[in-house]
Amino acid sequence: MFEFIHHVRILVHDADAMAEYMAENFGMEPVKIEVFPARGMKNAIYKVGQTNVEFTEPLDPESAMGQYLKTFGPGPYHMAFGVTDIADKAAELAARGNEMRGENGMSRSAEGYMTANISPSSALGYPFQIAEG
Amino acid sequence: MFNSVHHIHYVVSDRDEMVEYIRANFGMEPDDLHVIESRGMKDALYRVGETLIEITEPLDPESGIGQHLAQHGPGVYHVAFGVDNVRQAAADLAAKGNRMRGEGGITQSPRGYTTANIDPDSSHGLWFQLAEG
Repeated sequence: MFEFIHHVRILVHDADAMAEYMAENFGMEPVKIEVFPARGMKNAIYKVGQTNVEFTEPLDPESAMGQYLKTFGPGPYHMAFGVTDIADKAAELAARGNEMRGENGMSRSAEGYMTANISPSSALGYPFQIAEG
Repeated sequence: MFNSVHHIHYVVSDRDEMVEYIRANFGMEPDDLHVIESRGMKDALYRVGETLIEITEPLDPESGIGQHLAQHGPGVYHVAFGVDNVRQAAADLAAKGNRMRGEGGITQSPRGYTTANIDPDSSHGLWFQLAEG
């Protein structure tokens, strides 16, 4: 079912400082740096092979991401596997007994792609996400 | 500099249960199952697009990866970016002022690839790993 790594989210304290570090040390420029006020995050996004790498600075220290960063420090927070026909895949996963999050098991991300999220209680404690678009 | 997401290392509580979950829900079989006694890791490997997914059940709760599982629960432990000529990359990064871990800034993975690891003190608290092979 999984075709590639769709995206990886890495939490950082300062998205601009990380973008500068990336430029100086790896010679890489972000595709974009964007603030999503409604989601409380500032993202520096890089295309790395098949994968979008999102360095995310949480803007609200009380949010789940903000608390994760405060507790554990910078590091990978989340990743998503790329699939085709995500609505069908979400329906299949629900039919196999997985509790899915969001309406009809689907959510639209801030970046515009669609995701389907399996509740960790269905998946041995790990929040699997699949994505398309 | 980064040309792919080389591998993503997951930590889980029970490797065999996760392999069974992935088979039952995503229809995917592991490319390899093995135990690396010297590192205290019971692993399942999956090839997903250009990325290797390494799923590890820590065998020693006191190890670094065992403590990560105890503190974070199941999830992403680390991400490695693929590069060409990792030795040259490590030398360049050291010359730019990064403190590198391991002898000559290079570490041989038990899976056969070679990695270069930047000390998080040099990179805004984030552990960057570059990999080749």
